[in-house]
Amino acid sequence: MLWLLAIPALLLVAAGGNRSFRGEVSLPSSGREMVTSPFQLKQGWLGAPRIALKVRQPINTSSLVNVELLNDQNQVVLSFYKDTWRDAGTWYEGGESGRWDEQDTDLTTEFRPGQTGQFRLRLSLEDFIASSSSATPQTTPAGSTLPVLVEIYTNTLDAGLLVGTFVVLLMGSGIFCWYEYAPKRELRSFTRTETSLALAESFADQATLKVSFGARYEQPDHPVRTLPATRTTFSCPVSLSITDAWGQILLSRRESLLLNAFQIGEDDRGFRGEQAVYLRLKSAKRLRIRVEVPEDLEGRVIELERLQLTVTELTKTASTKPLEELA
Amino acid sequence: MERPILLLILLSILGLGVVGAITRPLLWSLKQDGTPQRSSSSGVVYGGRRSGGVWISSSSSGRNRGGSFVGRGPRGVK
Repeated sequence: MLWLLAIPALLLVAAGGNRSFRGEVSLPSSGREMVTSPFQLKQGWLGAPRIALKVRQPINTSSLVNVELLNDQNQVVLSFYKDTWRDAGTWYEGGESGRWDEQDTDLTTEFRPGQTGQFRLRLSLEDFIASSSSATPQTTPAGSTLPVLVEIYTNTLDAGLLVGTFVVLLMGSGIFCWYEYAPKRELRSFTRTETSLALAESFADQATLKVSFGARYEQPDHPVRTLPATRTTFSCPVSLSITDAWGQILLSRRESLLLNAFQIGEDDRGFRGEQAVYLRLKSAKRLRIRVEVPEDLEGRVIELERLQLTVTELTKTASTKPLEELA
Repeated sequence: MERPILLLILLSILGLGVVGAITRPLLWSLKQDGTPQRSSSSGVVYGGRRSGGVWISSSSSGRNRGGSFVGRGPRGVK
């Protein structure tokens, strides 16, 4: 299911397209128009072209860059402009200081060319002025130029739409997984005093059940035998039985529950473990599920502290454990 | 019951999103009246609009070309 998310994610990597043209034009401050060499814009099903201009703005200057897109008959088919600027200075705050340098010098536009053809860009510069933070603006000296990097990318994809698709799909997958795997109901029980525990409930035809049981053992207050420090696991015999409403045994078996050591406070250690079996009911039934464990293990080295039983009715199991049919 | 409907909705979203992002049918075309959407450009101003098959440049009087422009750095440090 989640592999569907990989499709917009992979396309997002390629959304920037391929650069098909790169050139640099020096725009004179006199306002004289400069024309790039011809480049091809292709009309196709895969993405759209993007015209990206980067003005190499000197520090503390601003300018207005005019751009016209010319077709092969030298007609203007699109024109745009932008105020570009770059400012730098020193900041002082709380006895500290540092340099700042900010700019807005990118001109970008995307469109579909309608048909494949040769195009050129005609660029011109206006109001190329020096602007110091403290001094009044001054016109830059005549004869100065402003370099502009012109790049044409083909086959650019709509990155925003891909991100949106990814997010909506992610949320949709969450809802789908909820429908698929969310538990319908859960019955929990635990005891600190008994060595056996039982739960009874009615379940529908073809119900998928997860029967989970866990036990926790600790060292007794007055141990008969000491627990070796190297001991990290115990094997605990568990008898699991499932009967129907008439007391007929549907399942009866002994499981071996692996208990792993854990630390309680500074000195004491306990042992705990949990195990689950997955069952599917062949027909609707009221079940009584019972687990039983010994009160202590290996001659009172450790004794039972807590026994728990959880029965969960699942929509579908994500576990790789096999489902046992319960007649 | 919900499972196939949910799957169908998810696949439709995926299909529309991916096909839309690749073929870009809503992007302005040079053969279309008007100007490109502002969302597909980075702060540029279109100096006209396409109408009746030709690009009609608007008069340049509306442009911000006052000599008082001193750049736009962070205000707090100016």
